[in-house]
Formats: sequence, structure tokens, C-alpha cells
Amino acid sequence: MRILLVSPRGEFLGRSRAFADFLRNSREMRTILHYWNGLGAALPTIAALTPPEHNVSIVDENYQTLDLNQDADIVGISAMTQQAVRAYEIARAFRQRGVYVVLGGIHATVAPDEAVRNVDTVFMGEAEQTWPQFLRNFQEGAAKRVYRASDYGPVDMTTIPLPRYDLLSGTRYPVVWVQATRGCPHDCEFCTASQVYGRSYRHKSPAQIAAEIREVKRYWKSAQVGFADDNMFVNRRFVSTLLDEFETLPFTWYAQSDIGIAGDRELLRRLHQTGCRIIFVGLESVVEGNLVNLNGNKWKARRFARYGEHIRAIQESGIGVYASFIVGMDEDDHSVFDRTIDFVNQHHIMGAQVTILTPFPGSRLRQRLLDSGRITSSDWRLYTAWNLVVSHPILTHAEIEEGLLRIYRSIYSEESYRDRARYFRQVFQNLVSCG
Amino acid sequence: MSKHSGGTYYAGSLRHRIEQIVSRISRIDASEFQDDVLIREELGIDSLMSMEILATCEKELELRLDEATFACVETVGEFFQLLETTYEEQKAAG
Ligand code: SF4
Repeated sequence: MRILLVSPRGEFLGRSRAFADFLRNSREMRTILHYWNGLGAALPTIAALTPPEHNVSIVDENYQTLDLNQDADIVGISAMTQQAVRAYEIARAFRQRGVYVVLGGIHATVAPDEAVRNVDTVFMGEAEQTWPQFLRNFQEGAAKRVYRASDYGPVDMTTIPLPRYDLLSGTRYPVVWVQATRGCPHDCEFCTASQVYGRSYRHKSPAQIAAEIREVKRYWKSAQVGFADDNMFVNRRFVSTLLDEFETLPFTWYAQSDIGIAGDRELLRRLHQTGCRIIFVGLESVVEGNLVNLNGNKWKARRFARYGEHIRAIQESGIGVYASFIVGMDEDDHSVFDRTIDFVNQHHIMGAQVTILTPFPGSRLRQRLLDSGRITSSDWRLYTAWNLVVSHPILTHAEIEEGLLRIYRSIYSEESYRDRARYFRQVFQNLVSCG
Repeated sequence: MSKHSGGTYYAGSLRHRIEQIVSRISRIDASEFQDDVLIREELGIDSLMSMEILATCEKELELRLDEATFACVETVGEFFQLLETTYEEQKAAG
């Protein structure tokens, strides 16, 4: 069979004109955006799970052109919410020609009823067990409408094959996102990741991860390696053996983690030594009240008072913190924008991603805001986390958009850039003189 | 030894030492450092890594550099040239 796997085109930023102008003119933001997307492991993994007798190809519409008249027996699409509308357009075009279309990924997992109206088969959750099962059923003429990962139990990540990166080797990606672990214990109200991967933490074997990195470097010598894992360092014993493996791998990398790693100086030292250069940390808000009901166990609220100290510990190890904040949360008022600017500048945070509160389908937040009638749009194309799709108790739409832009203009100004450069130079001078 | 040949020998060994520093910090093999390679987009050396490189060059080569230095260069060749020129100037100025 000919199987075509597609990552649909998606908007990843907001629609504000003023913001688009700012992005065009900010050199630092252009560099950040350059490293924003890149290649994810999902479709190359699905390709690797496909038995070799089938002919598989991948089109990543964010980097390549998709021919809607292409011949295929099955088209498999993987989409996040902001790609869903385009995913359905693609599905319509292929289904009109009688091609069988399936959809997986986060959006299909959290909105299966909608997805099933637009495609022939929907995959909910991890596809490592359901995809091969579907292919067998399809060939027997007995494909099901919905495949649920939960019917098969959690995937043992050590059995996941090496992703077929070779299928995209002709495309130049600035960053390739490798998946080493799945699961996050925190269950933040706005997050959908835990809906897909659950709260229990699983991982590939260190040797398996190292083999993936070698494969990535084989095809994209100059691409950065980012770990797509939501919270990579939860299991410290595993991380320690993984870093042993990284000692001999010549690469630098980025990861995402909660702020909890800040207390482990030895881990931070080893992370830097093995090439970790940036850690993305979800701090979420500079307004403590916003964190109180974020996780059931108040995990982030309990660390709020020490955010500054934790950031310093990570950055003084030579690793930049790229912090994420959300504006438009319920406890925000007009001061949130200046407070965010002050926080980022005061702590010399290497980079910050500030987005607007977005009730993604499948999140607890969406249910709460639906119940209180505060969702103003369910046009998925706006669900990039850079558009306002909810009403706020105090702030207007214009105030949030203007405030967000003000934050970016300030934290990515020449002056802030110079200040951060001076700070990090001092950090490295200290490290070099101690080293 | 003529000034010219001395300078050539000197710049060559300096470049080698700078390459070693950049390679150690970026974890990129020095053979990748071709003059026309773009330092950020192709080597992935970002502003953070560049501060580490500057601090290390300061310590190991006794070189004083401005933070803004890195912001002005695009290619590997420009970067090495800048470090070499700065080194020569500071050496000459004592
Ligand atoms: S810490 Fe991050 S990945 Fe974990 S639940 Fe919160 S937002 Fe999601």
C-alpha cells in the first residue's frame, strides 16, 4: 500500500498586525522564531511502525508543498488543535477522490467526536500499538472508526523503533525534536499534554535515545536537538544514565523541565557539561494567585516565592532559562504586563515566551470556562495561544493584545539584550575561573 | 623571522586555539568551522554560547572583548577574524 503521512500547515502565532510588524523588525525574535517549529518525531515514528512491505512517505506542510492529487491508499494526518481546520480540508480533498483518511495527534485525542465527522478513522492517544493494529484491520477490510490507546495499555517506550528520519532528510530543519520521555505528574489546568500521555512517567532507554540523536545528526548536522518531552528530568536515576550516554555524544541540546531541577546542583553541572544549553520552564505567571488553583497539589504555587532563586541557580550553571508565562489568567489585572517585564529583566531571564490564556479542548480550563460562558471563539485556527478566545473579568481584548506586545518590545529590546549579555558573560567568567 | 611570516605563524596557531575553545563549548567538530558557514543559523551558536566563548577566550587567551562583538558577526570567518584582529591589537597595545 502507498501510505502518505501529513503534518498540516498551521498558524503558530497570533493575528495581531502590530505584533506581526514587531516580529518582522526584531532580530532576536526572528532568531527565536527560526528555532520555533522544526521537525517533531511523531510522523517519522509512525513511518517506522509501518511494516516494510508498504511504501511510506511524509509531507510536512510547514516546510513542503502537499499535492492534494497525489496517489495514496491511506492518508494519515497528525494535527494539533491549530492545525485541525487545515487537517479537515486535506481530509476532504483526499476523501472526495476515495482515499481513506485517518487522523491522530493531540486534537483527535481530545476532540474525537468532531474528528470522526471529518475522517474515516480516528486515533486517540499514543499510536504505537493502534497504528499496526489498524493497518492489519484495514487490509482485512475491517478498519474501525476509532482506535483508543487506552484499550491497549500504556506503551513501553523501550519498544518504539528508531524514527524514519531518512524520509525527511531532504528538508532543512533548524531544530529536530526528539522524544525521550512521556508523562508529567503536574496536571496544570490549561494543559492537554497529560490527556495524551498521562501523568505517569515513562522513557526510552538511554542507548535508544543516543541512537536517535546519532540518526538526527546523520541527516541534519547543523540542526539543534530539542527534547519534546514535557518534563524531561522527573526520574533522576534515568537522567543520570542518560547523561552518561551523552558524555560521548558531540551535540548541544534543549529540554523542558519544571523548576524542581534548580535544587540539584550536581544535575545542573552535568547537564551543562553534556551539552544542555537551554531549559524551557513553565513558570506560568508572576501573579501568585494564578498559581493557587493551577495544579491540584499547588505544586507551582508552593515554589512561587523561590522562582527568582531557582532561575539564578539554573542560569549560574551556564544553562539559559527560557521561561513561559501566560497573560489573561483570572487573577491578572492591568499591572500584569509591567510585572512580567520587571520579573524577566530583574532575573536576567535568557528568554521568555509569553502567551495568552487559551482553553484548549481536552483541558480542565476549557470545561470551567465553558461552564461560565466565557469562551468567545472556538475557531481552532485562533488556538495558537497568541489570540484572545476568552473574555477576561477585568481586561479588555485590546488591553491584553497591547500589553502582550509591550512585554515583547521591552524584554527583547536592545537594552535588555545588552543587559542579559553582560549578565551571562559574568556567569561564564565565574564558571571559567572556578573551572 | 619577518614580521609577516611571524604574523602568519602566530595567527595560524591563534586560530587553532580559538577553534579548540569554540569546538569544546559548542561540541562541534572543528572541521565544521569553514569560513563561510553562518555562525547562528548553521552552527547553532546562539548568544548564550557566544558569551561562554568570549569568557573562555578572555581567560585562556587573555583577550578583552565587548559583549556586542558577537552581535555584529554573521559567519565563522568573520568571527575568527574579529578575535584574531582584537588579539593582535591588544598585544600591540601591550
Ligand atoms: S508542568 Fe507542563 S507538561 Fe506538566 S501539566 Fe503543567 S503545563 Fe503540562
